[in-house]
Amino acid sequence: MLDDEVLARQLFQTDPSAGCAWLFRRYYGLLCNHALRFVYSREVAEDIVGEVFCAFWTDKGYEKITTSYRAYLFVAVRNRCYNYLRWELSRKNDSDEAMLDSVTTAFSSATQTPADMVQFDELYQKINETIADLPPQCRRTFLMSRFEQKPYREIATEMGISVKAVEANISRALNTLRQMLRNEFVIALIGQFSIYGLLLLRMLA
Amino acid sequence: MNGPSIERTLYDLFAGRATPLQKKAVEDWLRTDGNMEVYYQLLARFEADHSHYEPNTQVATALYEQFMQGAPYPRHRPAPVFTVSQNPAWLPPRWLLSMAASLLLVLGLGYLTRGRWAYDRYETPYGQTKTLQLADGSDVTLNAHSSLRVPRFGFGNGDREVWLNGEGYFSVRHTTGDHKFIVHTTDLDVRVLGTRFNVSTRSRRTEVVLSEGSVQLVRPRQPANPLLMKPGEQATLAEGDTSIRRKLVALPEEAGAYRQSRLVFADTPLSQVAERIQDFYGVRVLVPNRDLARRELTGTLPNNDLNVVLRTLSLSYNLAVERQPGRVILKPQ
Repeated sequence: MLDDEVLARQLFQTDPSAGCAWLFRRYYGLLCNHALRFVYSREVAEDIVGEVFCAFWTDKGYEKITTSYRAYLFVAVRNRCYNYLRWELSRKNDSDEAMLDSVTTAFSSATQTPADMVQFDELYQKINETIADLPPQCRRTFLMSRFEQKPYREIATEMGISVKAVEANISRALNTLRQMLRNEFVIALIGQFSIYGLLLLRMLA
Repeated sequence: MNGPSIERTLYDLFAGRATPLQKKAVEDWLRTDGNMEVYYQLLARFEADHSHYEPNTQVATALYEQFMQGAPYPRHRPAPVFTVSQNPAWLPPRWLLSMAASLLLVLGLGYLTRGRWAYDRYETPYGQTKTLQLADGSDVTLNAHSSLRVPRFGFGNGDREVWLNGEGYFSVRHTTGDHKFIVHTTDLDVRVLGTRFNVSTRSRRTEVVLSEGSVQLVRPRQPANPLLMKPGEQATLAEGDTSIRRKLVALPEEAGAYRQSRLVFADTPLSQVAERIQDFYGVRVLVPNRDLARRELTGTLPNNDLNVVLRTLSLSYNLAVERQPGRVILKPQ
């Protein structure tokens, strides 16, 4: 596996655009699949991965990396996924924005701490569990729409329900997800508050 | 953790099946140098083994190559109205952010609850007075059933502010920095430099009697219109009054007579005498007879004991005193 990195490094030394193109060809599919676990829409996932590679080229990210290319790309995709989730959530409820800001900053740096990394995997687990807990019809509609990219009309025919019902199911699934994410962020915040708050009180007392 | 075992654990984690114990183990394992790289290496392999779909890498790569030549890279959806800084300037580490947030929270809570911890509160029960010296050397005598709130850590280098409920006699020391001394009551602020005066906020009436020096009376609702008092003056603001009533009193010091455990009256209607006793001892004192209530008394009573006060009152002014549980009724003989 390390060979990938050695090869990429050699390519970047001679021709950065060849290096970028090689990384793109090598990782585009993997990164799209990874992003899809968080954002649940192929289009959004592909846009996010595209953005990462474009910025990698435009900002000459390949000159600044301190990790492997692979780690850099995965971290960048994860950060963007997280920010996308936050954005989608804030669209629904502006008042959460300020509160989420402090959490999100942790996920915009080029490297992550072990805790951040595991927290990301936990986020995926939570998303999965939330979808698994949806009512069967709602879950099936949601997965068909998000994963198989089927238009609402097609899903409606396949499931024998109206287009309106498909829309209602999808919006219900999205709302449940939003609620879950919001609680996640709040819990993460409260956790930090209480731990450091207690420490501080102890120091003051 | 050795190779095959961590691989299984990471796969469980990526698949969303990891137990809290496994997550903790991964977190610890990641702290070892070089393991972060192994993590992403295995993540890439996991995504290859568990791919949900096969995006069209061929087309996308061609688009990306054109992008590097200067063409725009097409998107499926409009970009979110939301900017992510690609190369963020130095960001404080997470623990520092939380620390700062917590500190703000604690300070905020402290600020919101400052009324509880930043002030000392002196209280007198019914039937007792108390004399105290404040941080600036000023003396205050609190009449019975009164309270005074003062800053716990001294007055600092600004105005000296205290909050009074009930009645207090103030002997304010003049400071070298000419710092104002302000007594806040519900309806009236008394501002002074150095002087002696009595403030009483009883029975829906605020009364200030100035013995010496000069004070400014400010109504918080009309701060632009202060009233300057002269020595010997009494100023009264009753509930519902629009303006402050002033009159000269013969013996302004007597307003603070409670300091010597005396009740002093000068042409005071019996109804007000009753109020004063009521305020001091916390028993209701009623004067049902209207003519009697209007009768004006002049004199001094020792004020140590309710029974003594009532007996003296009865003898000196020819009153009948009827004691009932929790109240006293004054009647014509």
